[in-house]
Amino acid sequence: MRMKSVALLTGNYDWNPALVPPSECDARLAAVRAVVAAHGAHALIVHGDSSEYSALAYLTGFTPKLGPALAFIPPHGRVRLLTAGTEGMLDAARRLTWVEQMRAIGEPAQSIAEELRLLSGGSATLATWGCRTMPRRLHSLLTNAARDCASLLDLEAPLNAILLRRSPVELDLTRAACRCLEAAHRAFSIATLAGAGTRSAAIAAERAAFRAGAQDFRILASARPGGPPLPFFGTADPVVAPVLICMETRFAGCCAEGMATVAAGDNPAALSAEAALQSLLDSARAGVRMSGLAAPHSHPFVQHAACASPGHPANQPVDALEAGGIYTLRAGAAGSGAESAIVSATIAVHRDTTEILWRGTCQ
Amino acid sequence: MPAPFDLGDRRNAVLQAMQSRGVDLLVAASAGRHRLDRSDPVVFLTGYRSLGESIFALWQDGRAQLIVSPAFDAERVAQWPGPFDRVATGDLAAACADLPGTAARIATAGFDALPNDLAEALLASLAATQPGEMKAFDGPFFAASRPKSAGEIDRARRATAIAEQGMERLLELARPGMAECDLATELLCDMKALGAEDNFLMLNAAPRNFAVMPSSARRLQPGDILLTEISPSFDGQFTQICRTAFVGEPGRELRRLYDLVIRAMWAGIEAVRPGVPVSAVCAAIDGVLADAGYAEYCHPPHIRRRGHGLGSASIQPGDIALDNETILEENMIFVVHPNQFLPETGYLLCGEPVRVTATGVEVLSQRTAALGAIGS
Repeated sequence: MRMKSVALLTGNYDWNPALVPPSECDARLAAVRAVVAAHGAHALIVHGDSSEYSALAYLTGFTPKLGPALAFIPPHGRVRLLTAGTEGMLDAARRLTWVEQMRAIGEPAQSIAEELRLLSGGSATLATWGCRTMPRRLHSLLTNAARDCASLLDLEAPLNAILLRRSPVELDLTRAACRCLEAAHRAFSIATLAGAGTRSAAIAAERAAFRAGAQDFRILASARPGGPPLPFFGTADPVVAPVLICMETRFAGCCAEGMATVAAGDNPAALSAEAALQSLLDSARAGVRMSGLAAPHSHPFVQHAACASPGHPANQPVDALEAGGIYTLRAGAAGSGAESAIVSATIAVHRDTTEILWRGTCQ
Repeated sequence: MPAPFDLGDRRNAVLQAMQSRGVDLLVAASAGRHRLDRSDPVVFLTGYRSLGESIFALWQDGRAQLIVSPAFDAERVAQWPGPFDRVATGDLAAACADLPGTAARIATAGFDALPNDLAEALLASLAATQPGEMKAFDGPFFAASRPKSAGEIDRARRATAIAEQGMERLLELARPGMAECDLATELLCDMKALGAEDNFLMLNAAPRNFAVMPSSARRLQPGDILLTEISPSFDGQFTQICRTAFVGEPGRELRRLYDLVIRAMWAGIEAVRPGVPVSAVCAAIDGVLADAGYAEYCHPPHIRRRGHGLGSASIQPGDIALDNETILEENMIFVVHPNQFLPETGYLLCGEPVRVTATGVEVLSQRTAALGAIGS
């Protein structure tokens, strides 16, 4: 789901070993190193910035708030981080990660070149992850710096695949993220049903998510009855019914996303969307392909059914459900005029069961 | 001096710059991030803030097309005013390949800030369909029209009023034991309720700070010096006020040193007028601090800049720094902030957003910086 970017990530991103213990960090690092080695690469470079940091935060806990950050992962030994900002900001940056070796990026061309020489030992294949979304200017610096000491190997797809299989710790954190999502959904619904405009309701939802412990919360909402969910720009605060919403939140690095329709009224599209979602849920289990999920399009008005992995950097629909995965099942329906609705559920697929972590409604 | 212009005037200024350099087609790109201290070429020319990446194509004959992503933004962009065609798409590179005409000289702006894969795809599309010479045009692009438009000036005033209410709210809410990030997120929501749509809200506290930083889970303690840069955006225009507050009753030494940085800030503000280089504003601030014996703290790593332009359209005149020789023009808007590290106290913050007037300066804030006190 494409959400509006924010000027600064403001919530609590401090690394908390009680939530993400060192054993979890070690396991993630080992899994990533195994993929890097299996592809014949010597070491790994991971990029993140405040807009897209899934890979970097997964591997290091570090969420870059002020600009780009790069992690340098040797085959053995200590991980190193280059972060935006000044040396005076490093104390704050250290709170965000378990990584101890950290320096300010300073002059990027020089810093990156120094780190690459350290990592490559003079000549090696270095894998990259998260570098496709790197700003072009920084990408040029990286490729120029690598020219003399390393060849770069894009391992985006195989490393992103690791993110699809969630550990027990990640499952627990996603449950917590879903509780934040539910707090926001409830606050939005209460405000809307009390007559508030969509902008006011969205602020109530954001406040509720933060108070429930969310690191971040974003929302899109209809600007007209039954209209597509859109970002808020400007101060317009229209009262809209029905209002379609898309929400995204994070808790300790784990993402939850949800869709719902509020003030749906006697909207046949809402009934269809909910029925279609129920069909998807009824047949969702490990090993099922999207094409094998119960045919939601047999419901009247249903125009859209999809499945995605929340928080995954590729942000693409997935084809099949796998045990250990967390998925968002979505259904959308449109009748005539304002008769439209969207709804989603977040599920954890286990070997023999499917657990519903959060479910939106058309109320 | 001319009145503030509108976006049509700005597009005409860019067209003139294109004409003088023989550019047939300008392709300006936005990464859709709309940041406080980065210029956005698409917002600069259209006022439109896209959800995803976007492109504005401008031909020398005045034809123009705005291409935004994602596709579901179609309804919003269709209603956006302006003399240009509009497209919403999930595939910017394909839409770029559909741009009409075969321009001989193509200029680009904003491509360095795009995700690398997308930038490469767009350039490949342009190279395949517009076989002319292609050059980056970022410098002349923003130089063609530096001051803020009438709308941006109005929005900067409203954003500043929100920032000041945000600071009042901070002094009401903050208390020992409260986590920085809990305070920051409450303020974020409060300022959204006042009309802000976004906020670059830095807020941190310690007995001695080495920088102003994003909030952490650290809890406020008596004796902390709290620093904040409150930077809301109102309808796309950011502002910034910089403030310092003490948790408890500030002592005489802190008050004396805070008065010093306030005097330095006013020296900088009083140096602002049309025709003056930006460096003179920085030098005026440095002069006050140097006279007080802090010359060695007027350079990196203690201080990098004494203020900056305010996005998200254009951040002209750039950083308030000794090496910036940009000449100030009427209706430029920027923040002047000494934000000084002092060995006795650590970092202290004060800063106000200002507009260059026909003869001098207008401070946009109504209640300028003073050392705050947070009840213990």
